[in-house]
Amino acid sequence: MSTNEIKNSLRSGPNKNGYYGDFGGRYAPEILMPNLIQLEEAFETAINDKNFIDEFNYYLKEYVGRPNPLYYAEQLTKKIGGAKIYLKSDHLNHLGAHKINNSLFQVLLAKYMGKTKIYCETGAGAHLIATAACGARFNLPVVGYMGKDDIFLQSTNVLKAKLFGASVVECVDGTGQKGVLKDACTSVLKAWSSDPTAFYCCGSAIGPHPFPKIVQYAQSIIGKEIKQQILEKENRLPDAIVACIGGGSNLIGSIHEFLDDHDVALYGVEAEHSSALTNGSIGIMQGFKSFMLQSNDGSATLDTKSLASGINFYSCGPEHSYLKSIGRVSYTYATDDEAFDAFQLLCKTEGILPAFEPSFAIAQAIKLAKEMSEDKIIVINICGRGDKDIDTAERMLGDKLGK
Amino acid sequence: MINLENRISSIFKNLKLENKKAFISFTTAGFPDVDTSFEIMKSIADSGAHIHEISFPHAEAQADGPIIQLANIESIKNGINFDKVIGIAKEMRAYNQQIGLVMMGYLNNIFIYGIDKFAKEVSGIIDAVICVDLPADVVEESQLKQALKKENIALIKLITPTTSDERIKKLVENAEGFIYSVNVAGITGVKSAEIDKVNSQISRIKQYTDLPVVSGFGIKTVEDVRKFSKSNADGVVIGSAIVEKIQEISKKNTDKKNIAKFVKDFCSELIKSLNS
Ligand SMILES: Cc1ncc(COP(=O)(O)O)c(C=O)c1O
Repeated sequence: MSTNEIKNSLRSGPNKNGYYGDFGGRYAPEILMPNLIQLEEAFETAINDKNFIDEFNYYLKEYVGRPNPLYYAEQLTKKIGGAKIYLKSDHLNHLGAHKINNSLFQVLLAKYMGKTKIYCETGAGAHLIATAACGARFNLPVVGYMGKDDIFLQSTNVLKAKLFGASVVECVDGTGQKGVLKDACTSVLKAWSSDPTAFYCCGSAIGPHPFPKIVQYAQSIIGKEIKQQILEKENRLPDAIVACIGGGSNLIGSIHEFLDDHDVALYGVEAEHSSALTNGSIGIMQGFKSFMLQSNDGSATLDTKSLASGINFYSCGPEHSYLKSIGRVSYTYATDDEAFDAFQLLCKTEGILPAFEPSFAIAQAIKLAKEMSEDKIIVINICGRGDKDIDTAERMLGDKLGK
Repeated sequence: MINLENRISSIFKNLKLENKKAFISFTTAGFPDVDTSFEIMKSIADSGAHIHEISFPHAEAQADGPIIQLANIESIKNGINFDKVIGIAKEMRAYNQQIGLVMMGYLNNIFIYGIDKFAKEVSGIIDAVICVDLPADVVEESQLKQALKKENIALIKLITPTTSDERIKKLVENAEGFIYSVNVAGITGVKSAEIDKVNSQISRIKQYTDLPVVSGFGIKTVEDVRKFSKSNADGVVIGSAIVEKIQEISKKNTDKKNIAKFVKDFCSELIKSLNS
């Protein structure tokens, strides 16, 4: 495996300064620059080191539980009445989300670099528990940064992280009143600046170069498996792949293998009130240039909101902004209501409890599948399971849940 | 090295002749409100500060600690925007023609405003720009540098405890105005600077450049400044300490004039300690 440039390929990654077209880059304070350069060098060395890659693959199989099934959702397909729907089952990974692919990779990288402490940020807490678990497994202490509001909404994840031995720092914005994923991102960059010998394990395909590239690399296992599995089952590539996007790690992981397969339509689904790729403008914050929801003069992000903490993010990874700008991937959004309906539909038809985040992808995929003929194939990445969300679901359903 | 001759270079030249150091103050435009922040800056100029950094606020200030972060959020809430910050800079220049004026903040404001438009707009007004998140390897660095250079404005480089000698050599190569030596690994207003480390870092920088080197981050009190008067820095930057004072008084005191006066007295005292 090498990330060397592939000619005329959309998979060749960023240029040497971390740009995907006009997007990305490394807009970091000088204090972090040596770290970022060191990280980039270590990453390139590690992925060309057979022992390192063997170790990563070993734990992907034995610890994460990969490959997970590409499941033919026959009941859902019948119910919708259109394209054949396959579900990529990243919700069946250890700890119930795709985040562990990346946490495992980066914690192994931290170990490879001889680091002794790990920082991470988190939205829904999925990245936090995955990093905390890997930290426990490989004897590295983990400090997680999490927004005040998310700590409240995702309390079971906080508890799990603590059981794994991690500590959790509550993050707020400048007002001190509220805090979501973007506040965790700013806080963790500050913590890393103050403790530059530590390792920062970034949870999505965002941040200054080389993080978007590292996260894409680690998460691409999802798309590699999809490709192999669909060829085994259907002897052809799918017609469409759909995934949700907050920062964009499960989406880029699902689609990266297919970027050069131009007959495969690719879809990213944001939350309505954090739809940076549909309603945002180009800006530079938290170390990267991308589409973002920001104030007119660029001083601040706009307030975002979503049923799903994990995709409640004002921006998106720079590679997605690039893929939007060249028209390779279609980016849309779903509403909270649509996602919640899709969440319930998957529960009822397949006995699968998705997290709220992929429910946004399911909502969009249902619309697409309906319009497609029965000989077409659509793949949805179910990037997380909904255990963390059932309290909220119960609150929302109230009486409708029945006795 | 590019010898940009402007107000800042002559300020340092003159101070050197007198064997004095530059006192560089920093306040947040729009804090506690737009008008008072301008009054505060005027009074700082009156106190005899050599250079003033006008901080344009950003809500996700990656390099700033809680004090400046709070000021940023408050000022944004109170209606500051980048246009108004430029307006304040213009009024400051009209008020005082001697003081060196630096606009400091994060790239996104300048990027959104337009790099060339910004440079033209602040031409003849400010003397330097500091962008916290603008390392040499992003495309806007050379764009901004060239645009500012046409207007005789310096783009200031920051060097930190993690910057290697090799990187220092590269960074100072085409630096202008002065070098900003960041005293601590971390964010503003939290850790305290240690004079021995500061001196050795500045010596490291001075091996490679003849530009003035100023020392910032973690200098908080009159005693600190007195200590730093004996450092090998050519100037000191005081930011969080002034902003914190403004926060303290504006909480107790609604008469805005008093805030400006208080800040003036504080800065006068700091300047006296620096160059006594
Ligand atoms: C289950 C789940 N899905 C999706 C996301 C969104 O992240 P990304 O867009 O990086 O895949 C998160 C983030 O926390 C998550 O927990």
